[in-house]
Amino acid sequence: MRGKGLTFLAAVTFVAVLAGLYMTFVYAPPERFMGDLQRLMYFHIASAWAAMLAFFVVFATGIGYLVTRRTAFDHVAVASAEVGVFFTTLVLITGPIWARPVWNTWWTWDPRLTTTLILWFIYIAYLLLRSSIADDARRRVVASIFGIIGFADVPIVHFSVTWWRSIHPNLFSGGSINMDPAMTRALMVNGIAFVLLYALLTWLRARLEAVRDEAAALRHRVYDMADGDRP
Amino acid sequence: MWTAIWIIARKDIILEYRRRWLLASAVLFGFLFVVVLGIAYNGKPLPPDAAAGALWTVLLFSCVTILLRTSSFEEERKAWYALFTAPVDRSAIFYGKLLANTAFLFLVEFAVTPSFWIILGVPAPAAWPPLLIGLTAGAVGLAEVGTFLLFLTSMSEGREILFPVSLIPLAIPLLLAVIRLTAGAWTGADDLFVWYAVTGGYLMVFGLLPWLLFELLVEV
Amino acid sequence: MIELRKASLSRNGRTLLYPVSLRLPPGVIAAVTGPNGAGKTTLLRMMAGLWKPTAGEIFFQGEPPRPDHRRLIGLVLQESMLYGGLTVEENLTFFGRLYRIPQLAERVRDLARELEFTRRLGDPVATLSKGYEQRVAIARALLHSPSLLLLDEPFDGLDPSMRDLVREVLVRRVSGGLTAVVVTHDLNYAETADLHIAVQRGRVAVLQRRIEK
Repeated sequence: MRGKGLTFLAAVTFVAVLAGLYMTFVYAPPERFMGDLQRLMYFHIASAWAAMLAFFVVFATGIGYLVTRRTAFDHVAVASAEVGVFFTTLVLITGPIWARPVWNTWWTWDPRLTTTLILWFIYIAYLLLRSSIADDARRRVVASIFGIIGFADVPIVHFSVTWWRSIHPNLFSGGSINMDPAMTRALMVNGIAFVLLYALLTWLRARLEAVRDEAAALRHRVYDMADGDRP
Repeated sequence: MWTAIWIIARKDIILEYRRRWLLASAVLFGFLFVVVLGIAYNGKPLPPDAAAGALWTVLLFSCVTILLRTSSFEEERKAWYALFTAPVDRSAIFYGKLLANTAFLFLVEFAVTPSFWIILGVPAPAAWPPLLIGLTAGAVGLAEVGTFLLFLTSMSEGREILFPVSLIPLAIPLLLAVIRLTAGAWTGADDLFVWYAVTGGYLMVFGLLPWLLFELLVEV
Repeated sequence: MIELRKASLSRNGRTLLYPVSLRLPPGVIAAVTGPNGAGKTTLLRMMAGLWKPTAGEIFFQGEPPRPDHRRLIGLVLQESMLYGGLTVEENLTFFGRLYRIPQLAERVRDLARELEFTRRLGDPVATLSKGYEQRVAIARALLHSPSLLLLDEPFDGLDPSMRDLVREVLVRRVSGGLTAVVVTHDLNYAETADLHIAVQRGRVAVLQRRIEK
């Protein structure tokens, strides 16, 4: 059952990613002023969506774990945080590549870019904090709480940084890029593909975490039995 | 609840007072930083933005060292367990530590800040309220998020580095707001309302979240 | 006083304590013995409510644990849980205030007399020897007259005369209705207890029982 679901998700993701690539490089027209470079935007924005979803999942599974104390929530939380950091890294790489020729600078203190950078730091700290605690029950509680306060911090970060400065092209309220309907469609398909990719990676990583836990328990059993212990 | 908070805070203040030379070293550290900055600027006066940034960098450093120290009171002989098994509301432990930490941060802030215009030749601020409110809110906010993170990292390996590394990203909105307020005090800008709002919102969120989450953190 | 019903504890996928069922009535001393790392301290911490059982339940006076049950428990761990920078008297007063103990000053003096550390009341805990610190830790646990006293190696670092003193203090309290759980390496002491609980590799067994079930 589990295996079937995973295979299905993997197949759908594969198709969606292929469709996304097609839409990005063939279907969508080049942008009038920025040309082909603008195609990066599809990945940039889709990654940002996947990352936000990932961090929301860390928040939600944190609450889920604290309420139910089921380790499955924690497995999804760590998986989601890692995958989220991966997508955030993609956002932070594609952003400057695009910004260099367009804004003539690698890094700008633009609100969304800055928010993304702070998020990246928060969730790196989340992963570091996790790996620094040896006791698993303690680690799960601490991580869940950090996931909750980290996410609660996101709107404050975003609000404050937006007030601080604002030069980001606002795509949906008529900013510097005029979105062709074909471009919107390409972005949507890429958004779906990245969210599916996020789900697939998180699933695999969560399963790995669960297997690790089981393996640790088995190892202890084996040592205890070698020690002359009978269950 | 209120008495328990006060008893716990008072105990920290007594302990800190007994070793007041340690608090004095934190202040001295701030002065030294200011002197190095003065040398680096080659005797020229600092522009307001740089002064505000430097001031908060110093305060952030002092905050990290002071907070790590006050939590060592309980770690030395594992007094945490005694506090957690005492019949007091567990969040009283958090707010007690918070109260004491806020007091220590105030002390260091108000000792270090004047050196900025004495040593660095920064003129006296054009408007006092943003500076004073910024310093006050900064102390309370850093103490809030810092005290909570101290409990979160209490079982972590390499806590000395993990604590600041997790504190700073979470504190960015607060730092941004109080730095703008501090810089605004010198430039005399009057569009500071939004920074008061950000500061207020931050203090609310990080003052109340621990009340909801602290019990969970203690009981494992 | 305290009852464990199939309470067990695991950490990092390892079972530290297998399900244990145990009932301790008021007025008994239970001695817990076993080799290093067997789970004695784990059992004690679980009883103290510092660690929640992974499965099973703990009852205090027939009820599931509530926050105000913390008032019933006195705890002595291997660390003294005191503040090194405060004097003995300040430490006891601090905890006494948290427990809202009436006539606190007298209470502190009585305990100091009983456990023979009156002359060190004004000294910072950091300057005490192990034996003194241990007795202050025991006084701290007795301040609020708990109904359940949990002690981890209370005789460690005490010379023979002090060991006898602490034992007498315990016997006096237990005859007054206190339940004491003493983790110890001293098998002779365990023989004299009402209940001898042995822990080995996380399994708990009652070896000797001198009380009604």
